[in-house]
Amino acid sequence: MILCLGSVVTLSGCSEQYKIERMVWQANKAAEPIFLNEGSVSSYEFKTVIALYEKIIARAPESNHALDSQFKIAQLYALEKEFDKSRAIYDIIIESHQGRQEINALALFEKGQTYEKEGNWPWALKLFKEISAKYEKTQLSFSVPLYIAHYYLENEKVSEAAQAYQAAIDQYQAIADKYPNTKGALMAENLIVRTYVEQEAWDNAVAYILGLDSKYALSSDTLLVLANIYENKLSDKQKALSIYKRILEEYPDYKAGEMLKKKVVELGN
Amino acid sequence: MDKIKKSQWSLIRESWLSAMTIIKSDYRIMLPYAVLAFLELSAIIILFFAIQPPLVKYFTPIIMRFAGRQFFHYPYNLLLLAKGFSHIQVVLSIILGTFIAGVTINLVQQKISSKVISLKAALKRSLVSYIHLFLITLIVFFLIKGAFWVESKVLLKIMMKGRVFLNIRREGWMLIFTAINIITMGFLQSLFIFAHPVIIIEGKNFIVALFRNVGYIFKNFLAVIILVLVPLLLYLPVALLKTRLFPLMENIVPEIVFLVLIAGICMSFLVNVFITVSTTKLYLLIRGEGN
Repeated sequence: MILCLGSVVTLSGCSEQYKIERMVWQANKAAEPIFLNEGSVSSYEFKTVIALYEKIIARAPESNHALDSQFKIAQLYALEKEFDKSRAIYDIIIESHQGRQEINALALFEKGQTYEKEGNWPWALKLFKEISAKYEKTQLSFSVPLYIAHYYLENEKVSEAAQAYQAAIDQYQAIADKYPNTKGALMAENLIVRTYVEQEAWDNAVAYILGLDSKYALSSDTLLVLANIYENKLSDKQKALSIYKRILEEYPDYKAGEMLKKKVVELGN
Repeated sequence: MDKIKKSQWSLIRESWLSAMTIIKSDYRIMLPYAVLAFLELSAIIILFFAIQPPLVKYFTPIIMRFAGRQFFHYPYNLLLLAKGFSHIQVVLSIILGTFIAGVTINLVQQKISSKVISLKAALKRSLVSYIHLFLITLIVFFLIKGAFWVESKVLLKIMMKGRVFLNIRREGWMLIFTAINIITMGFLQSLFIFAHPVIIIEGKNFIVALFRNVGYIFKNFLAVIILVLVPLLLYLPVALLKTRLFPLMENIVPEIVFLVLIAGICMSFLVNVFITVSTTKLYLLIRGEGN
C-alpha cells in the first residue's frame, strides 16, 4: 500500500517539463529503429511514431521540443520516400521560424537533401546555394560548399568536383575578406586549408598556411597540419622538424607534447 | 575439532530458527527498521520533486558542480536521483540506522528474556547508548570506505587493460567487483557484529565493547560470518542491478530506476532485520542467556 501510494504521489507530481521530456524520450526511442534501418518498418509502426511526435507538438507548440519533433517528422517522411510531405514540413518550419537563421538554414539544407535523395540534384544544388546566399553567417553555410564538392567526388564527377572546390575556396576567401579578424574569418581560412588538403594540393596548402603565418600567429593545430604535410606528403623532413620544434616552443602545454618530442628525436636522427 | 565445528553449526541453526520465530511471534521487532525503510522511501519522493521545476533551481549549483547539464533532463535526472539517494541512504543508515540497530537489539533481548517487549524502553536504552553505538558504526564505515577505495583502484587498473582482461569483459569485471564489495562489507561488519549488543545488553562503553567483541568473534567467527554474509548475499541481485541502471533504463523504461531503488529498500529492510535479530540471538546463546 505504501508502494502504491508513493508511486501515485510521485508520478502525479511530475512537472510539465518532466512529462514533455518523457514524451520526447519515448518518441525518440520508438523512432530509433526507423532511423537505424533507414525506413523499412511497418506502416503501423511508422504512423505510431509520427503520432507521438505530433502529440509533443500539440502539447508544447512553442518549445524547442516541438521544433525538434517537426524536424524528426520531416526526416521520417524522407526516409519513407514521402518527399513532398517532408518538404511541406520544412516549408512550415522556415515560415514559422523567420529570423532564426540557424533553424532556417538547417531546414533548407535538409529540404535540399530530399531532392538529392530523389535524384534531383539541380534542385538540391539550388537550395544549397541559397543557404550560402541567405544565411551566410550560419555554421551550415560554411559546410555546404564542401558538401557539394563531396557529392561530386562520390559520384565520380571529377571536373565538377574540382570546380566545386574552387567555388568553395572563393566563397571562404570572400567571407575572410568581408569579416577580417573574426571567428568566422578564422573558420573560413581553416576551411580553405582543408579544401586544399582534400584535393591533395599540398603546395597550395603550404603556401596558404605560410601566407596566414605572415598575418597572425598560427594555432598549434594548423602548425601540426603544416608539419604533417611537409613530413608525409612533401617528404621535407627538415622543414617538418623545424615546425615540430616551433610547436613545442610556442605551445609548451600542447596536448600531444610527448608525441611531438618523440617526432623531433626521430627526425633529428 | 569436530565438537567445536558442530557447536558452530548448531549455533547458526539455532540463531536462524530462533530469529524467524521471534520475528513471527511479534512483528513489532521489525518496526524500527520499517521506520527507516519508510524514511528512505520518503527520501526518494523528495528527491524526485527536487530534480524538477520549480525546486530544481535551488539545486542547480550542486547538480552542475557534481553532475552536469544533461542531468537536468529526462531520463538522466532519474540517474541523478539514484545517485543522490545512495548518498542519502548511507547518511540515514549511519545516523539513524545505528539508533535503530540498538532499539532492535534491545527488543530481541526483551523478547527472549521476558517475552514482553516495551518499545519505549528500547528507544530509551538505545538513546542513552547512542554515542557509543555511533562510534562503532563510524569505525566500520571508515573501514568499509577504505576497502572500497582500494578495490576501486584495483578495478581501475583492470579497466585500463582494455575492453577484455583475462577473458572477462569490462562489464563482467564491474559485476564481479560489486559482489566483492558486498562480501567485503559483510566481512568487515562481521568483525564488529557483537560490539552493539555488548553496548546495549551489557551496558558497556564503546572501547570495552570493541575488546569484548574481539573475544566473542575469535571463538565464533564461522557462525558470525555465515549469519551476516548469507542474508547479505540476498542483497546482491539488487546491488548488481544498481550498477546496470543506465542499460536497464535504455532497454526497458527509465522509470525502472524507481523499481530498483524500492527493491533495494525492501531487501535492505529484510536483510537488516534478519542479521540484527539472528546475531543478537547468537550473542545471547554464546553468553548462555539465549535459551
